[in-house]
Amino acid sequence: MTILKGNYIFARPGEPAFLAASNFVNYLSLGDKAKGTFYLEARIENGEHKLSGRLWTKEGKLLCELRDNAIVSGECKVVPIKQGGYEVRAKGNQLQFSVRLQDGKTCLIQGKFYDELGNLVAEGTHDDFRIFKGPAILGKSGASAGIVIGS
Amino acid sequence: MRQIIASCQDAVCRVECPDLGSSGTGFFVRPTGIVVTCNHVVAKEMLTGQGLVELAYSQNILIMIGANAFTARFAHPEDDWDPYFHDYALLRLEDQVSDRDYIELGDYDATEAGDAVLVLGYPLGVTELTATRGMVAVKHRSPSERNALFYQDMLRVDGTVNPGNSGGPLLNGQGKAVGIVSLRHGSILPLVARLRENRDLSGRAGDPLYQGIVELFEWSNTFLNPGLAEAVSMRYAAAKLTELGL
Repeated sequence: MTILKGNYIFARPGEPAFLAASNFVNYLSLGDKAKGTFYLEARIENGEHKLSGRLWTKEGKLLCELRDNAIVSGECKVVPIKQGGYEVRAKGNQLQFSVRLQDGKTCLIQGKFYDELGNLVAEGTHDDFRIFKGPAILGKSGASAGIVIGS
Repeated sequence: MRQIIASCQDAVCRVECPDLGSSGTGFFVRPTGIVVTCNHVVAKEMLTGQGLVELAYSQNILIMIGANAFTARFAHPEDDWDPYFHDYALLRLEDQVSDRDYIELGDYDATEAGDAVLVLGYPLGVTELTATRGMVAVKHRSPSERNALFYQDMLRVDGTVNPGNSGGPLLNGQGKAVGIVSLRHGSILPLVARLRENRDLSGRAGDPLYQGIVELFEWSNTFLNPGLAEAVSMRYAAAKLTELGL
C-alpha cells in the first residue's frame, strides 16, 4: 500500500512549513471558521507561522479562541518554548496543546483537538499531526487547495 | 542634534534592578511617570527542564534620575507575554507625578533606511547621559531573539551601543522615539557567554589563563567590536500603552 508521506504540498524543502499527516504543508485548515464552531487554521504569511482557531474541550466546552498565535478569549495562557513556539495551558496549568518550531522552519502542532461536540478531530504527537475528521485542507495556493478532506 | 538632546535629556533615566544585578536605560513616555525600557533589563529569563521559559521579574526596580532614585513597578501584568516576545516593559513610578518630562512616540512606519537617528542612554555604567548618533541601516522584520516563532519589526542602526544602552530610546530627526534599543547585532557576547559556560563546566573557573581569555573577549566586545545596534519598533509598547489606557 502506498502512503502519501514526506511530500511537500505547496511548500518547499528549507522553507517554512507545517507538518501535517506526514507531509509538509504551507497551510492547514480543520473545521469551518464561518460556522462559528470548531476550526483550526495554520498558515504561513511572509515566512511567519500563524495559528488561529476556535478550540473546544472533549467535554464540548469552548476552550479558547486563538488569533495569530495570541489568545484572544478563554481562560488559557501561553507559555513560551525557548527553541521557538509555545504551549497553551488551561486553568490549573493543564497543557492543552503546543506549537513547536523544529529546525527553525518546520512547525509541529502537538495535542488533541476536539470539535464542539467533543469528537476528536486531530492529534499531534512528537512526529506527526494526524487528522481523523474533516473537513480539512492540506496545502493551499491562491484559490487552489492541495489535499481536501470532506466532512 | 543638540536641541534634541537638550529637550530629551530629562526624560531619559537609568533603570537598575539590584535584585537581578541588571541595569539599563529607560525613558518616560507619559507625564504621569510611565517609563519604557527593555524587558531583559527588568526580568531574568530561566529555562525549565522541558525548555519552557519562566520569567523572574524584578521586585526592586529603581529609576535613577540624576542622583535621585525612585521606585517603580510594572504597569502591565507580569503574566502578559507580549512584553517578553517583543523585549519591552512598561513601568510606573510609585510616586504619583503629573508633570514629568517625556518623549513623544514617533512613527516607525515613516522611518526608512538612511534616516539619521540618535541613541540616548547610559552605557558601560556611566552615570552621565550619553548620546550617539547613527543612520538607519535597514528596516527589517525578523524572528525575535526571544522566540523564533514570533517576528518583530526592527531597525538596524550603525550607531554605537554597549551594555547599558538597552531600553533607551532611538530618536528620529524630530526627537521622537521610533524604537527601543534592544541589542547589538554582531556582538560577540554570545561567544563570551559560551566561553564562560565552558569554563564553568570544565571546572576551569580558577584557571587564570582561561579567565584572562574570557576577559579579553569581553573587553574586545566593548571596545573593538562596534557591531550594529538593533532597536525594536516602538509599535509594540505603544499598542500596550493604548490597550492599558496609559
